[in-house]
Amino acid sequence: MVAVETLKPSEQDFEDIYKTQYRRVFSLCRYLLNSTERAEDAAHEVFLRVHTKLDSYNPALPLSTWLLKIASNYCIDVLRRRGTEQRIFNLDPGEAFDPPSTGVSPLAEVLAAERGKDVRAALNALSEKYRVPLVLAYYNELDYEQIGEILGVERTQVAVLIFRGKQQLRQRLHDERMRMQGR
Amino acid sequence: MCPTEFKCSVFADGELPEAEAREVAMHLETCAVCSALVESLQSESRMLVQCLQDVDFAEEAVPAFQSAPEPISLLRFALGVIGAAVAFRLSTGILFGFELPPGLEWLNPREWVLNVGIAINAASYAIQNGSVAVSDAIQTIAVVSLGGLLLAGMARALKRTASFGAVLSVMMAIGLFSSPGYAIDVRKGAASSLPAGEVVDDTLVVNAGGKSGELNKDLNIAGTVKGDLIAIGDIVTVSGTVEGNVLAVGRRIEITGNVGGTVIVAAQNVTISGKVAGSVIAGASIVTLSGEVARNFIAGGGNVELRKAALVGGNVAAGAGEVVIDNDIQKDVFAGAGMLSLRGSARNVTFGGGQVSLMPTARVGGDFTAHVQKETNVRVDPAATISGMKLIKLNPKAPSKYARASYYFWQIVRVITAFITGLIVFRLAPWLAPTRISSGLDWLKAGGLGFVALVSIPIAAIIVACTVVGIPLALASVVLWLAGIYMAKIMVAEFVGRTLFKKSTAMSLLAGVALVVIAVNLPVVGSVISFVLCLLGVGAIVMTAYRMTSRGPALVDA
Repeated sequence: MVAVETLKPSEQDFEDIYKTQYRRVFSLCRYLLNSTERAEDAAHEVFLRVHTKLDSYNPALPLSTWLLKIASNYCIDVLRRRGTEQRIFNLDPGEAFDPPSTGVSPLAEVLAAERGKDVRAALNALSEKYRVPLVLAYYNELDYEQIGEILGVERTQVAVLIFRGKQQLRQRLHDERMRMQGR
Repeated sequence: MCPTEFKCSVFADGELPEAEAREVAMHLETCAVCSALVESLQSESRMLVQCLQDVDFAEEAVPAFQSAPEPISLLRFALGVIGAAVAFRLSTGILFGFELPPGLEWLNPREWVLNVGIAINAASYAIQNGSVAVSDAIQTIAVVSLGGLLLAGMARALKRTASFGAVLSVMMAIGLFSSPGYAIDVRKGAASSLPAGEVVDDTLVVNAGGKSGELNKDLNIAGTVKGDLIAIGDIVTVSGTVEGNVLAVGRRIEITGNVGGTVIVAAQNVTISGKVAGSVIAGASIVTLSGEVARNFIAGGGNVELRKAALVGGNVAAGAGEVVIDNDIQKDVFAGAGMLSLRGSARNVTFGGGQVSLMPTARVGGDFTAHVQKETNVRVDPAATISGMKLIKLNPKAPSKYARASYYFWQIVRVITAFITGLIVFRLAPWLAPTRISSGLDWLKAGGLGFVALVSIPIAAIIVACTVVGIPLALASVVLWLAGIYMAKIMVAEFVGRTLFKKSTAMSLLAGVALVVIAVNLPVVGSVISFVLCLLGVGAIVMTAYRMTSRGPALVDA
């Protein structure tokens, strides 16, 4: 894999790339599209594109970054096409910058989720608007600038989306924990 | 004053502008609360990364990579279309026993012959095999509407001109001829024959029909109907008296009794040996008249025969493969036929078509006019008499349409309108562009799907139209169907242009439309190419729409 990342991959390397990177790409698609079936289709489509674009790959970039970028762009395209609203990531006029605190403390809730499963479930329950930026930030590990580029929004807006997304995530985990304890 | 939680969060992510970040960093040194917050935010981020990237999550097996199917080359596509067109043309030539003249447009009557035949076949199949799913009532109504529509269309057309009516009649007759199963296996068995002596004061609507497979349910109207008779059956016999009109659809229709009004019948076999006080309009593969018709006799079919005993008080208009007139006709004869044999007498005789023979016994009281290709196609026996003029008009070989400037003008208009339509449609609905239909196999599938869609939509519309609620739905689907037929070639043009230019632009669409319009205007095979492209395009629309709804959106090329 390391060798693949330093050399310009040739046609023969494609099979390796596919085998080693499929799950990564598939997981991303599943997070972004929130559907296993659609993620399978999307991952297949992404690799079809990777296959044809292999020549344009710049080895200076890590391979996984390149792949995830293609996958993110593709999935967001899919979301845009499915939804009636094209600008899904724009903030509503009422959504102030510098949003207020909600009082549910960070970390505690995430830590309380014993396994990643709960976090992923909570993430999947979020709307696209907040789910996608969070996935790009924590799965792709992109910075605000890069996320803004993919979503086509300003960097400052990304900050708000991520902050609000995390707040909603905490709230959901918190509610879920209360519900479980209440039982 | 402490920074907001938002600011801390952005700071924790390392995304605050430098000046602000410095401020916050200074604050953190003095504020334990904020510093704890930032720390927990940072751990939270790390936790989130861990949770999301958890490899166990993707325990799924890696499916084998399937490379994209090779897009079909333009040459192969063109060869495929031309091959299909030639095969299609040959097969229709054999099926219908005549050659399609070159340069027919898609919407011309003869191609509709084919469509009507296909639609009726499919409809009869649906009617016969859909008994489980569709209730008897619906079926009955569907058949009545189908028959009624056909008859109404024919009657309307016949009012205009005899020749157009004749063409339409031939077309319908061939449709009926090509579908022996058409004759209505309506499973509404209770209502049945009207025995002799029984009198119905009103209009009688009857349909015979047994259970499926039991086709020989016949219907005999031996009594008296004071109103109209609308009858549907396998064999419909009218041996009694109908004082009004008769409207009958069946496999075999025999009228041996008396009819006070007009007779409108569509069947495979129509025999009229009784007395009809009005006119007769018949569409069938074999029409035989040996009775009396007080007014006009209008028939379309494979074979139209007026036997010696027949009497026609008005004109005779016949459009058929073969017309034999053995009797005396009071007024004129108009015949458009492959062959006309006149043994009896008439006033004026006008013929257009293949061959006409005036037998020794023939008497033409007025003029005899024949529109034929060659003079030798008119055979007048020396013993036959023509009182008026004998005119043989050779159909001049129509000057090639390719020689006229207006033809090119209209083709250019056609290109432009299709281009603009395509631009608008693909702009409004980019997902409709057939970007994912590129391999030969895809196009083959599209052809099959297109065929099914073209045939089934009108039939579905007719069946749906039987319920009041369904009428707007049926109308909408017919409109969609027509729109689909128009859009079909634009779909193919998009593909052709995209393949040619290796990308999809307005320019490529224009080039594709131009090529398609040229292809459908080719001599000899153009009309059939047009039909094949229509199948492919409609199939492409169906496929794209299907993928759009069930497997996620259609994709644009990156």
